[in-house]
Amino acid sequence: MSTTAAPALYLPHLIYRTRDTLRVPVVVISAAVFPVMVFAIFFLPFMDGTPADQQAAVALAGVAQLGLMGVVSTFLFNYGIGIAEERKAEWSNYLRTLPTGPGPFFSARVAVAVIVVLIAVVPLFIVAMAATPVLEPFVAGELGWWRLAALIPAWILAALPFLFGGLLIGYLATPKAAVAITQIAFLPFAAVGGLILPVQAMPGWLNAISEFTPARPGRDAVTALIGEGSVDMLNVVVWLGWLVPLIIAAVWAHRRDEGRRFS
Amino acid sequence: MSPTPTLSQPQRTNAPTSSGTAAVTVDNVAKSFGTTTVLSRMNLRITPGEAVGILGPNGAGKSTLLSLITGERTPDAGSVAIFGANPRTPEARRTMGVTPQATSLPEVLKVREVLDFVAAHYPNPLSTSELLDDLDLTALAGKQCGGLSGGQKRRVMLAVALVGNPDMLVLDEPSTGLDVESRQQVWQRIQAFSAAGGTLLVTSHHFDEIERLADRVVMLADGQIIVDDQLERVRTAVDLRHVTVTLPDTPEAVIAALPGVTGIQPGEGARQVITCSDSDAFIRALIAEGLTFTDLEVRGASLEEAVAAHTAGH
Repeated sequence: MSTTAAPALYLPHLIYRTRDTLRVPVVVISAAVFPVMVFAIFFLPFMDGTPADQQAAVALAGVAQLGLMGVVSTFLFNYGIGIAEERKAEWSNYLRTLPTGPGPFFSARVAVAVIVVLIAVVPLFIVAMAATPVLEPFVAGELGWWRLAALIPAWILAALPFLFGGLLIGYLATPKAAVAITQIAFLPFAAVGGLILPVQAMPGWLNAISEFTPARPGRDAVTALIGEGSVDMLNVVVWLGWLVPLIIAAVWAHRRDEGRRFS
Repeated sequence: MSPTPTLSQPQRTNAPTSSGTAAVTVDNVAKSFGTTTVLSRMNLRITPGEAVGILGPNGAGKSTLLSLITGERTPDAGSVAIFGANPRTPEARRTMGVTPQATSLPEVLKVREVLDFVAAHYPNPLSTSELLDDLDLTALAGKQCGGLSGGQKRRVMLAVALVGNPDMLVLDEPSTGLDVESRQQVWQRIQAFSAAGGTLLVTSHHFDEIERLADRVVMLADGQIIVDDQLERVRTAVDLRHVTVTLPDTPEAVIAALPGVTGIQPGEGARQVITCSDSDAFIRALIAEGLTFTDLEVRGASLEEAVAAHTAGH
């Protein structure tokens, strides 16, 4: 009797998790609306006052940092709150008795996270393309089109600390506490990292602090990707300095939770 | 509602066909949570095709035992084998259909989608449509689980256990919250599963449910098995019989004085139900005294009475 029915399970799990995640309106709406809303409020009104030759760069910077903000919030809320809720639901205990290894569960989760990320950034792209000359540098050949495509994996990589931070919260907190903690964690980290208001607007002392916060390396990286500024060693060190402990902590929290509930 | 379940199941091929392989082997198992010992030195062997009912008060360890069998948890000592395999492996789990313990289903998924998802894990699942029809759930197939009543959820959860067409069903309180008609339907479907050769493991607080579904009764108390026997033997082992009879001319006081009588209850119409510790002595006395009687019926103890008598001895 075969023990490798697993390959056939990846699709059913993906379908299951997609339905389970996307049929909750608040997940889709908040992912899709928030970055677009901030873009509309904080960037579009200032486009008029910006010299024409800088408008594309400003819009592009807005897309880069707000896209990252969208991915950060997706990771933090989806994993932080989603996992806390699942831990409480008896149904997820039952899922653990199904004839499957962990592979289909894990890959379905990753795939759905990517889908939600796309839901978060596609409306942003569309609004930016419609309302600003954001595509000009690409059309004119100053910037390669690959940079736009590379934004998506770049966002995901840059936001990884928040994925594991979200997991840490999800495995430790109750659903209600998770809602509060992720809200409190998100806005300050996003703001000080330069994801909402641009870093150029920060006073010197705030900018100095910002360099050491988990969202700033990502912000610098995606902004460099679209042609502004560069990434330095400090960015890399800070990114790893948040990511590695958070991975370790998240794995520990996951094992502790499994140990308490399923051993 | 179909009067008899349509069983279009193909030959079950999930389990090894070795005749010596027990369906469930619980071997000297112990399980504690923190400082509380829930199960200790537990031994249980279930052969394929048996229908076992597990009884016991809350806290006796029924749910823990079931969680070890389904592989949700691992024992601290001893081992559990399902058709010879570790219950934590997909191989073993393909032989089992399980009802989730509490009434819980994913709120935003539709009934049919849940069943299709679970069915995808099994090599020879039942047809979702036919199973829904068997359990009178066809009208709810497209409804999201969050919108179901408690009883409807319970029936869906039974469908979840059945849809994989498993060799063994592990049901935790399958008819909780069901109305009379739904219970009958559910019991009928479970009995059809047993009749087709499936192995059944069911826990319940309802004695009538165990009497209906099980051949063998296992009773847990304080993490130990205190009764493990065939249903009939459990009932008849207790020195308790109910004699239902019409005694038109005999006053109660006279009846009560007869040998072997421990109590008298009014029955239907003019009948009386006489509880006896020795029904044979009572009937011989009726005849010896020449008392007029009609429509005599002797019944053994109910399972509930038998179990109460067994546990009173502990």
